[in-house]
Amino acid sequence: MTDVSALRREGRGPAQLKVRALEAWYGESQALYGVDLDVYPGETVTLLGRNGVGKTTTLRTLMGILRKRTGEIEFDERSILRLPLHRVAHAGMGFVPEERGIFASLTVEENLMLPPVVARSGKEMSLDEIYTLFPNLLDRRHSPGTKLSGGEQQMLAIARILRTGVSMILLDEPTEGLAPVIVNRIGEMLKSLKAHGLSVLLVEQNFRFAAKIADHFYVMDHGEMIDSFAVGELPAKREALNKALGV
Amino acid sequence: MTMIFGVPLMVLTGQMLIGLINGSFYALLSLGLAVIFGLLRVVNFAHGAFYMLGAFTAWMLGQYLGLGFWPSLVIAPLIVGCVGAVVERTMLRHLYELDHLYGLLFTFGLALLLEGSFQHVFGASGKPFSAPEALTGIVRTDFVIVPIYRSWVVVASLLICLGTWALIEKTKIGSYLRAATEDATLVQSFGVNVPLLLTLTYAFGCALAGIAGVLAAPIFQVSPTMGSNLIIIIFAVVVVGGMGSILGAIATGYLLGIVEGLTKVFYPEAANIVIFVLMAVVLLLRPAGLFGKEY
Ligand SMILES: Nc1ncnc2c1ncn2[C@@H]1O[C@H](COP(=O)(O)OP(=O)(O)O)[C@@H](O)[C@H]1O
Ligand SMILES: [Mg+2]
Repeated sequence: MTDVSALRREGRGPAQLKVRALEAWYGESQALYGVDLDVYPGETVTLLGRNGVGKTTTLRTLMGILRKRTGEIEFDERSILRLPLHRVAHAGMGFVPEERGIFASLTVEENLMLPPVVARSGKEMSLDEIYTLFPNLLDRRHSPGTKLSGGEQQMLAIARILRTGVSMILLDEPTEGLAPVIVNRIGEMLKSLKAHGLSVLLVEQNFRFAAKIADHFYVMDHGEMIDSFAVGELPAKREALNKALGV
Repeated sequence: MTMIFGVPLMVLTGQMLIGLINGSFYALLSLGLAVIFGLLRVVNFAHGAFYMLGAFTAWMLGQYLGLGFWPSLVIAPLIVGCVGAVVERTMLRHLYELDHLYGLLFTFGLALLLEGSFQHVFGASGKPFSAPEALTGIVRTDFVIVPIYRSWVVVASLLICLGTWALIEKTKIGSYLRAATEDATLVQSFGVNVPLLLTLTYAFGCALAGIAGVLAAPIFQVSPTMGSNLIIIIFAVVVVGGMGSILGAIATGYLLGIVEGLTKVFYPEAANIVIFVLMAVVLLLRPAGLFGKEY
């Protein structure tokens, strides 16, 4: 793998998230075999790879949900490997899971208000801003969270993390199973996050979608990184990617 | 004398009231069990022992510190809650990763230990405990005799149950509890201290049992086995209502208390087993319980 991250490092302060030689296990079975990854402040980085290569596992391991792990995870130049799970959000990292995690026993508004505000970084969104951006959440705020459509649930899942003021958000396949119109809205939303200065680590199968918002790409296979390149190199990589992703 | 279905009205209302009083204890205890089970997935077999501990703590506060009923009603449940917190922190939490059976065995062992210790120190006989001065006495009308303390217990337990329901359904901390009941890991990833929430929940459930114990002390006497006699019925109530539903636990508690009371009037021979018969029927027809969700 060409060390593009070394090139990127030039002239740009330290990475906000720096991952080295990360390995992780589900019980006895190893799922990550040495993941290296950098996310710079304000960047949107996309993790590509076929089903089952370990993208979700990577996010869960970074967040500290999967705890059987070795290697190095530095966030804002501080190791977060030993932090208990509930401290990671307070360090500034937010997680939106693949299955969205909207709670059925909570109303839309309770879902939205559930995660504690962890930082007043200036990047957090107020409830008013969220409702202005997503008027349908306002209309449905008293209904159970899971009564929303798939697209609305995805927006709720992202919006409730934005409210907390984290400076980086880990997003697992936000467009999965959604209609094209909704996918576009989520794309707009991610652009506005970027404009706010949030860093995003995005897992996405749909790389035409990812190409519109990502600054940098990583490609995973069998629990490790097999490629890394900036968005500018995408056209040259297209052929190889189609093969690697089995599109 | 007024008769209803061939039964004197006085007897009927009397048994209804006894049913309601028993139902109050069923509701308070099964509510605590449901709250604990919902979040911790632990079937708290020590619940009867914490009920006994509440009653005994109140008795000791009176005996050794001269405290009256009212301060004991507040302090004893707090002490029971603290004991629950220590138990969860130091022992129970190490079992979450293991099979649910371990939590059940542990709390069962804890119940035996607590009861055995109290029996060893205080003997098996019941200790009298008086109701507060202000609530002694009886109100008598043409169709019902109402012991004041007992009816106060019915109202108090109803308020405590509704208060708990409101705490869980209407407050921020309640939303943490409901969400963590669905997916504790995700809630913790949001930055909520879920390990602390588990401790508080177990402590709270135990404190509810403690309150029930204090309320029961003037009615049933204070004895080391008062909890183990009751807990079997409580588990039947929980099976009928279904684990994990707050309102279901409360409603089933009162309902079965009344059913038991009425059975005593119309078919006394079955009064002691009617709850278990209902449990069997519910298990056959609706295994998740009247208000339960499938797990
Ligand atoms: N809870 C789990 N227990 C055991 N193995 C798992 C679990 N979740 C995922 N895996 C395995 O880890 C590997 C990576 O899965 P995942 O990270 O979900 O892939 P992706 O998100 O890239 O589709 C797969 O082989 C999968 O079978
Ligand atoms: Mg995945």
